[in-house]
Amino acid sequence: MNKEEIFNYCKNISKKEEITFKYIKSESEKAEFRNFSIENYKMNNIDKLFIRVIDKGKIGSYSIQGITKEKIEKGIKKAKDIAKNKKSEVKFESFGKDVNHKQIKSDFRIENVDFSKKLEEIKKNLTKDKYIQGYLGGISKNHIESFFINPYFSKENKKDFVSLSSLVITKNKKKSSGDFFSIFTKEEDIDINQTFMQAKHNAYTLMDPVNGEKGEYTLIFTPEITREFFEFILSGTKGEAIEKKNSFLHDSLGKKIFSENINLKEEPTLDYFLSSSKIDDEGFKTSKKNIINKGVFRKPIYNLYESIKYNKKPTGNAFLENGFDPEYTNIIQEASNKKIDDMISKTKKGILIYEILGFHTNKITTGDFSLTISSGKAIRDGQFKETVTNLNLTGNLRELFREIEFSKEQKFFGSSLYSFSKIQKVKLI
Amino acid sequence: MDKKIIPMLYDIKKYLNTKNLDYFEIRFEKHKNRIIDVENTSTKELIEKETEGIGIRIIIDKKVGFLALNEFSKYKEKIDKVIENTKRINKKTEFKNYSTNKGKDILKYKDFESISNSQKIKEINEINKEILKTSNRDIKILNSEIIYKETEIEKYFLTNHAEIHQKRPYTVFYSKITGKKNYQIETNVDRLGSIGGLELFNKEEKIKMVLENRKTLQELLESKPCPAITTDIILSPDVGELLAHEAIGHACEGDFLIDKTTVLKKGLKVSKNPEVNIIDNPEKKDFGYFKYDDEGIKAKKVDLIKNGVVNDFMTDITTATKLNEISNGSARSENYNFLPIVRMSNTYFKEGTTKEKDMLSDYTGFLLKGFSGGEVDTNIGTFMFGIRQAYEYKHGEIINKYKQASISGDILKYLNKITEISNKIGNFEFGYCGKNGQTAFVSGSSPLIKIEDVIVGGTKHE
Repeated sequence: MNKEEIFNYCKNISKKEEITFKYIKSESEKAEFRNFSIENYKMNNIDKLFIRVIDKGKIGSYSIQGITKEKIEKGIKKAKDIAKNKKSEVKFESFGKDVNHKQIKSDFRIENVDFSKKLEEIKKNLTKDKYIQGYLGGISKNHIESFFINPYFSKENKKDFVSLSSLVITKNKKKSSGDFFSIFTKEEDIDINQTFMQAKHNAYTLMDPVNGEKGEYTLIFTPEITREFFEFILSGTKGEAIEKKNSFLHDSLGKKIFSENINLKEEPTLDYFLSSSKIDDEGFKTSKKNIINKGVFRKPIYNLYESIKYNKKPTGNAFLENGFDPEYTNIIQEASNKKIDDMISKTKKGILIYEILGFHTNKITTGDFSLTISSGKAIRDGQFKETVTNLNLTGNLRELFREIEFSKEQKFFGSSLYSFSKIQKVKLI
Repeated sequence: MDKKIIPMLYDIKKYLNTKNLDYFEIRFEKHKNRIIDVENTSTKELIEKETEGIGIRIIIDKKVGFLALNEFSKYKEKIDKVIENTKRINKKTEFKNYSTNKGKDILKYKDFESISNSQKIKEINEINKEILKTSNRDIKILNSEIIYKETEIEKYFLTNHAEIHQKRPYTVFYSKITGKKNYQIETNVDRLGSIGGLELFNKEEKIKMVLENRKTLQELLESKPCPAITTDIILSPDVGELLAHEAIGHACEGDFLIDKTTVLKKGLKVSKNPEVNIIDNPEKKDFGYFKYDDEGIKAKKVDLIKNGVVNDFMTDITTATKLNEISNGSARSENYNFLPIVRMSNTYFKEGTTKEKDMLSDYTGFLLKGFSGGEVDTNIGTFMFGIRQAYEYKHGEIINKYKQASISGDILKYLNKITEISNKIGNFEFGYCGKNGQTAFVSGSSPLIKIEDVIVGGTKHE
């Protein structure tokens, strides 16, 4: 069955029953580069259909691939059986009935980008010099089509993007590396050369690492690291974690807990952002949210199950990709007007940190973290000095982010924007 | 497996044989999953899903192309496009000694369908009640969640020379408990998991595990934040396993050797202690078990570190060809949607000679237990592990219990500091290992490992 046939078949069923269908078809072309050449051309063509039913107040779910009418019928029956077997304290009446016809722009021209020409551009960038030992990375061109159908509304969506990651391996006195990653959502933005230039710049900058010395430093995080820290904070803003007191932010709603420079927003309908969506996959309208405003935690998010369980309203954040657990769409961290070059030049003793190991060991219940800086550039009196490695950064996020400042410059991560960030007087061991 | 699948694989094979390819392989995979998530006494989620599709690797003019699809009507058109685009890449890959195996490995197990969902939910509810009734004035149980997962993986591998059919089941049981003591709140996760079906864990074993988790939670609630300190450490089996997997296992993956992104090389002495032996063994029937890898090569045990010296690397056909060797069967892919890459299986430290009681009887230092993730940069040899609990010993007595620590450092220097390894290996723990966007089922263990003079990173500065 093609997408149109599946859509029509599912649409007819959903007219009669409390049932939702989410269909995703993803097509991609990928290639990897290794050392100085391109290898492994890959093409992926995958579709899947996720079925959710409400039967006697309970939800049953079933997912299928290789979609046929028989499989859809079997999937619905399975989903109903699953619903019957649940012993749930939460009783569902219906999925969301919201309707939203706002149009969100995507650049469909990317679908027609000639992938082989991009490979030619990459070949030109796999240059050799006395320091570069090789490259590792890959490019992918992605086209994703989806639809969502429930008894009240249906939406179709298309997304196109190109992603490129490049790791440059260097050797001088010691081996080291530097990398850069880009996501392009507009055809005119696709810039292979710029990504390679930035990766090479990072690799040259981070050559010959030495073990860092314990002490007190001003830390400057790249936008990539800023993003990692904020993703840690965001995981603590989920409604369920707040209600269960599993989050270090459970007692912080409405309180100023971070620096007033921290303004974090969800913007769900931005053009050319990959997580944009007007209705979530449970049928509820997405909305703009001030998650953290001037350091004050403002708004947790809930899916349908949690909203019933905790007597809250669904916030339009439940998506299939995350198993219907609440997840933000697009995240915008508010930039300042300070230039990163000025932030660095005003640093007396600091480190510009490029890579940290151990983010996934952070403890969401307490906000405690214990991380290892594996790659950073020492700064003394505003000047870059040696590359440092093997320094430990430990503490609690509420304390670390009490004072923080951000740069004007931001990086686009496909569905988020983050700045460089600077924190004074941090002890490293 | 659907009866239509094998004839279709043969049709695809027939078509590929008309394309004048250097090599091709067709991999069909079907994964069936069931997840039951019970929170306190309510079923939060019950999901079943099936994923199936075909991955086709082709080599033409020594260039590698790959197609993954699960809608088969236009496969000829898609194969043609992949062949055309593969010709445009410039890397030529040598691919020698590919599989000629014909075989089956269909594991016998108690069928997941032999017990109904409602019976499984009933049992999980009863187990959860055992935890909820331990809530008291001292420790209040805020939440107890059990996540139970069943997975059944069926694979069919077909080339002009090889044909292999494999089927494996996996069962996993997680307990996540959140508790409160005074103003402190902690969450802890413990788990059981292995290769096998419903015969694996009986109700009593599951209750034992969740009660053990409750005990650990209480310890965490009563422990102080770990200080940062330089000290001797002893790694418990679950942390030792992490050292074997993260610090050594990844650095012994053949693709990293080819890419020159590992600090290890054959013959390199990484420890002055000859008892340091690290093994990757896919033949062991545990979570990382497989008989044939995803290139159809028979899997075998690899001695990665032998007597403190780097002995061998795990390889797939491509890396083995480059190293002028024969693949040792370490190529694995998450599913049909990915090309196989070099992966670990069941990775562990071999037993040493010291008795556990001799190691601990007059010990002064920290004993580290329970891991909360790990990461390694194989290029420069830096690693970092999160540790759940740290016990401070003085002359064989525990004098302090701490929580949330970490260890990090340079792989090469770290192994050199191993002074003693106990003569008894611990239980194998299952895990999911991530690499290049793919997940592999793995397991590992170790004896107690004593390491001198290292930094334990804590969450409290001294």
